[in-house]
Amino acid sequence: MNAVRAILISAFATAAIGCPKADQAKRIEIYALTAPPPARAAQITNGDAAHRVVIGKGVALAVTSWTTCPGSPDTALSSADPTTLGTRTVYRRGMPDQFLIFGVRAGFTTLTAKNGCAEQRYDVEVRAD
Amino acid sequence: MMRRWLSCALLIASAAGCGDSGEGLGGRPNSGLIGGSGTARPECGALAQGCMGQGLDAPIALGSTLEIALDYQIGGSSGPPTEIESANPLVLKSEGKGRVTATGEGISALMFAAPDGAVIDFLHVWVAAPDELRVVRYGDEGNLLGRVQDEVKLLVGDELLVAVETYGKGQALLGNFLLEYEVTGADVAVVPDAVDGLYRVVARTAGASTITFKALGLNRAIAIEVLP
Repeated sequence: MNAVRAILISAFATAAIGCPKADQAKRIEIYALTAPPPARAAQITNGDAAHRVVIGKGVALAVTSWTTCPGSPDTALSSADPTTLGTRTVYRRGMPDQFLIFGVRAGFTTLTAKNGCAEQRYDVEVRAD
Repeated sequence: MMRRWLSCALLIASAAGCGDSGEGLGGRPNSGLIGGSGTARPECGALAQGCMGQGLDAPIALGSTLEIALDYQIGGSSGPPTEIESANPLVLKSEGKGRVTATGEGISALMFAAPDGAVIDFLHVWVAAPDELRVVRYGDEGNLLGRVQDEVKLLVGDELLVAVETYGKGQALLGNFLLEYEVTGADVAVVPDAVDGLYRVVARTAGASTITFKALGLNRAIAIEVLP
């Protein structure tokens, strides 16, 4: 009787929480460290459906990476079109995974964060504002 | 010999004050000293690493130039050799040596980069179009006394230490620019001060004069009556 109850509880729990994703151990995402200036946009979205960056032309945002990979692998951040979205490394003592992204001109491009274990592409919109 | 006499005659005529004109630097005096000299406050930059750009307390006037003193410290280091990079050169153009020129209305991040290109800190700077030239008076100690009225009465021998600054929608703007001035009448002289951006308006003889300042497509005229 107890075994049946345990199976039922396990089944309900799995249905409620969901099965573990096979790729959950290989995720990398970026998050903003700073806020945009008044009246200008800069937002990073890490959703299940989409990973997206919206930023204004001339606006800079400091970002840091978060990963599920074991250890602390070095993160690289690259823009597919540096004439639309620029990237720079940030000098931070003991924190090598911080970067600056900034809108150079209005348009669309992609931003890729990767660390040798995981990779995540962001769709980027640079707004003219 | 004849040429020398002619030069002397022109000099005497000029000194006698048949009207005067000249040009110099406009904008807030000593604005090139903007920086964190001696009292670095790390909250200046967005990353709170150093205080680059301390004193950038207003938009920069479109068409003007600003020198940003790069004197700052970060923990455990003197200020490293630093390059300023603009995120949007159509708004702010970095000319090197800490000088930026406001080339378009809008906003741009200014990034302060170490020799290896890593950004130490950054801040956002606005550029706004000026709609007013304002003549302001300074004391001999360099303290701002206030706005100079459009009509001024002076006594012979009086001096006003003034600067011409830009405003946009009532807000004081930063930046230096080429300033031209013209004086009608012989009773007042404008003498550039030893400090860039400051001018001495000297009442020489009783009478009426008008000083017109011109910069960035704007004019400001000050009517001066010198009383005996």
